[in-house]
Amino acid sequence: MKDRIRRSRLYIPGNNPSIMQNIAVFGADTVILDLEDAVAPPEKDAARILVKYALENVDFGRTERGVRINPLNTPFGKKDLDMVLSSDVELIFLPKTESAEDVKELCSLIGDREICISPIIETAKGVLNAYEIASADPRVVMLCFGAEDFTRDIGAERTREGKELFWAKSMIVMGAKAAGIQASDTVFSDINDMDGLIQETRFAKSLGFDGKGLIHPSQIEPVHKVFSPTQEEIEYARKVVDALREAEEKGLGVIALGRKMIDRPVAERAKRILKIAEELGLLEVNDD
Amino acid sequence: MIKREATCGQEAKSDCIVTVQPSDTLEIVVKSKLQKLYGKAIQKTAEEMAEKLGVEKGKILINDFGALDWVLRARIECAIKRAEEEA
Repeated sequence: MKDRIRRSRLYIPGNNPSIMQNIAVFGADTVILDLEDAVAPPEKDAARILVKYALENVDFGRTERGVRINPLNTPFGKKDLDMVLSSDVELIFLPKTESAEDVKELCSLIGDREICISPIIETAKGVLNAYEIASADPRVVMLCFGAEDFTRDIGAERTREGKELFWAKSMIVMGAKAAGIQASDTVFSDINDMDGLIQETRFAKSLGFDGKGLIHPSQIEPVHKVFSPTQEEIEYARKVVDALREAEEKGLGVIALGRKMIDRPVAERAKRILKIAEELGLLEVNDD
Repeated sequence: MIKREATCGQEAKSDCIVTVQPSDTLEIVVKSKLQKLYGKAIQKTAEEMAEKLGVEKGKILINDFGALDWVLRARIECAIKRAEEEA
């Protein structure tokens, strides 16, 4: 499903069965069974087979089933893709995506199959081509950012403040939103620093990201909390939607809520907040 | 056809190590911490996988660390495929 909620994308090493068997319990919005960086080259075949069996046997609950394949220009990428296409995968993550051509190459191998694609942008070239990548095919549903490889690529040092990533993150959000798709921020790699995780996630949300990459199940809850609408946001969105309805009934062209004028973007945002809140079951408490 | 010895899996929780060796007969050896409870089931899974992958001759050794059935199947399949490759 193209526009499902993707607040979290949890990386799970493709050769680790003990973590895989608990996916439904973790409750991430999306999991990435990782055949790329989490698997050493001599174990790529073992991970590919293990992931195939996991997709057939593991209970994913409500979690979206994603797989990160190896890049298609490696000896592993096409074998990974063959496995993915014979399995019940919902979302393919394409690492090191640098151009629309990378996405189109993947799409030519996929054929007509309805499957979602999420390019991971991890290089300067990929960042500069964010919009072209996001709009390369209607099956592209989300751009992801990979900061570790990106900082290496541009020769910068990764800092806790992340100033070196600001422009790239904004470019990825712009590219994704201009194409009408979602954007997901890079992972936060210190699993013991929950305050740092929350701070970075709030910043990602403020830039326009819809979700964040995670490396540990303990990161799911705080990240979901940040990306879920607050009760205040829900209440305000209700008032906006009510004011809209009232104005429509009275045939008014200009809509106001209190002393603020409500224009189209505000109304659209309010509707989206209510839609997300409904999907997350957050409307039940105060439902009319 | 089993051409060489090959191994797959890790000594880790919920995993197993499967070793496949050339042999004149089909032989399956299971070693598990839960031998009494699951030994027979693991043996049966290995027999099914050998049949599914067309292995009539070979020794399959399974050292189990609490792997679920699907994990056993994945590790057996990988070990057999590796053992079928030229050394």
